[in-house]
Amino acid sequence: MKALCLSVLLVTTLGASAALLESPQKGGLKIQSLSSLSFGPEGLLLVAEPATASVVAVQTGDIGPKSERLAQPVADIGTQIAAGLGAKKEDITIKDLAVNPASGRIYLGVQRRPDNAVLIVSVGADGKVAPLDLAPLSWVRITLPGGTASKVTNITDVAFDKDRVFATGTCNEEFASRIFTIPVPLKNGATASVFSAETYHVAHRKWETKAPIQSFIPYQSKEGTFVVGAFACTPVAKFKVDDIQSGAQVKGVSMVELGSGNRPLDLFSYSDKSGKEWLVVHTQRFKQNAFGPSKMWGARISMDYLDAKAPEKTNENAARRDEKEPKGPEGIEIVDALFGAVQVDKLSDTEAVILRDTEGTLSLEVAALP
Amino acid sequence: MKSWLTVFGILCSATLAADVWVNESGQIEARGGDIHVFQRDAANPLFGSVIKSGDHVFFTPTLPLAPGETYRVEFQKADGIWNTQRLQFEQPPATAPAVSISPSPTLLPANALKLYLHFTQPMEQGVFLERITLHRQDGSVVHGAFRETELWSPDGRRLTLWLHPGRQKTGVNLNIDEGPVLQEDRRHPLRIAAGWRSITGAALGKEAVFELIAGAVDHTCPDPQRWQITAPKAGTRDPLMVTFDEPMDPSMLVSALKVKRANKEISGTVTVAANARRWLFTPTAEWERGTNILEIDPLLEDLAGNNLLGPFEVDREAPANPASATTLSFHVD
Repeated sequence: MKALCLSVLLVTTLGASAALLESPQKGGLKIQSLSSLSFGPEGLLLVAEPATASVVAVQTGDIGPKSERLAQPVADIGTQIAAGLGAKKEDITIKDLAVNPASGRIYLGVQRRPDNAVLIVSVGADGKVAPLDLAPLSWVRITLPGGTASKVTNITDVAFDKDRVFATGTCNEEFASRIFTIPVPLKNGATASVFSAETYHVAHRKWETKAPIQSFIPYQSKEGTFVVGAFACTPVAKFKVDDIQSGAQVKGVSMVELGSGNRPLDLFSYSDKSGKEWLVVHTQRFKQNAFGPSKMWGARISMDYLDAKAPEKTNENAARRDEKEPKGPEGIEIVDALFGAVQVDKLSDTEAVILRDTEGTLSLEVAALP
Repeated sequence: MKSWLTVFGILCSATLAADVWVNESGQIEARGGDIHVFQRDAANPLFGSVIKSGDHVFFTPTLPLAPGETYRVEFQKADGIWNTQRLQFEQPPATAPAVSISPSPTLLPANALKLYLHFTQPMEQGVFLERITLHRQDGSVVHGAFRETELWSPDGRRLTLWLHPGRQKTGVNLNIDEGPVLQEDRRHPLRIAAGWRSITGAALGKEAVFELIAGAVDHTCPDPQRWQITAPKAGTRDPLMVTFDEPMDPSMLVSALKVKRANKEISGTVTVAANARRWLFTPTAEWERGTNILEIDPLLEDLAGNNLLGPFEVDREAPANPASATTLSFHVD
């Protein structure tokens, strides 16, 4: 799922729990809806709550150091989760999956039908599913700014960066792309800054302001801090977010195009054994794949593409994957383990956690990254 | 805990010889030392907490128990022997939800982006792509007609149904490969499945069918100069009426227009006509003689996503069109 950049892991190592939440609430938290989960350092869980247009940050207390890495795949985990919620397995939806980098424990946001009740559950090394007990935990809720210019009714993604939390949102009336930033320490009732994003869509050969970011990661480079976002159809674009003012419009630079007819679901970055950095984009195709067994698929993209600056390598000249071809261009590779994946998140630089749908049956597993 | 549960729990307690019952706090209570609760014949137990107190044991479910559901309760009595009993919760009588569409009649430009379904009750989520189908005039299904993102109003009663932008945008690959969702001058039945449930479990009960009638494509920005204002009389609370030259986004209309006088907003109530071509504003206080301003949110869209700032399919490299006016004045006599 949503990514954590290296800087987050560094903060985790140093420990910064006291600085993450300011004047948190104790107990009494009820999550009303849920669209996205993500982890910050020190077991800080970020929950996107679209019903209230809010981001909720919860100190889970799950800070390791004992590894909770899933030891064995869990077959038919949907049945186990549904039973815990008192529902049939066809009456639950796994809204998102996040791995806590501090422990390797897997967290799933689940919605039950027909009452739309939501619950966060976690899966430890033994594969057993347990509900996250919110009662004793500290938390804050930050409602994203309202008003015509920034109203948001769906939060597509949320992620922690070292000194702020980013969230991306869409509105259920206008078709627009907005990025929110919330300063850390996170304070209950704090105000988020908002800016709108403009992106060049390589497949359309047009600049567009009216396409929402589906998933993103914060990304640090020598050039500064960026939000790297994936859009439907599927440009991957970066937005420089240093020194931006609330209300501004930020022009993105399209770096890669994964081909039209795709809907990105999750992004994360990792370094392979040689130290080379990759961006993994997990997506769903509009129709059956010409190059693999499932509509659900993913690719890894060399981070070199994200660092490109020359106009001949960006926007209308950005590298483009041919959706009908199994390979190419160089530096963009299909990740076979992601065929059939409905949810994905990074576990480490060598592994990812995958929730896979096989003919309606969900299984959870740890898979090696290439 | 809902009252039906408590009431029925008490009924259960009588029929189950007081071994297991639902107490007034909504907990499943048993005489014994341990307890597990399962949905019907599930192998894994419900999530919940277990508290022992004296010779009683209490189970509090993490999520509320569901009306109409049967639970299997396994509890360990004082003699150490495990017993099983079933609690069956009745489904209280529920009114079936109903659905309507906006705008209505649903006359859309062929490049329409979205429409709205309004339900009389909050509906179950996560199933809209299975419950809604769009058909061609010949009855065939338009596959992949909708954007996959599910967007409900906060009260769960209004669904924004996006026609797939990748197919509705001119020249995008999906538009070329699959064709647009709507065909000009054709009728498209939109079918809502009878089995779609409200959050209380009551289904619509019968299929709802709405006809989407597609007209010519619309790539033109709304222009308030083409709107017609019917001003009210001073000393009355008659509504101010704005008539549009095309249907506007009916949900955005609710908050997109404001009436101001001397730079101060006039309070009142807004009514949007079902066909989204008329907006009515009834002030809280009587109109005063003089000039008023109608302030228009530039992000207000027509049904094809064109707003006052630009068309939906904007070519950013082409010279920008002058933005439409965002204020209109009217005089009250």
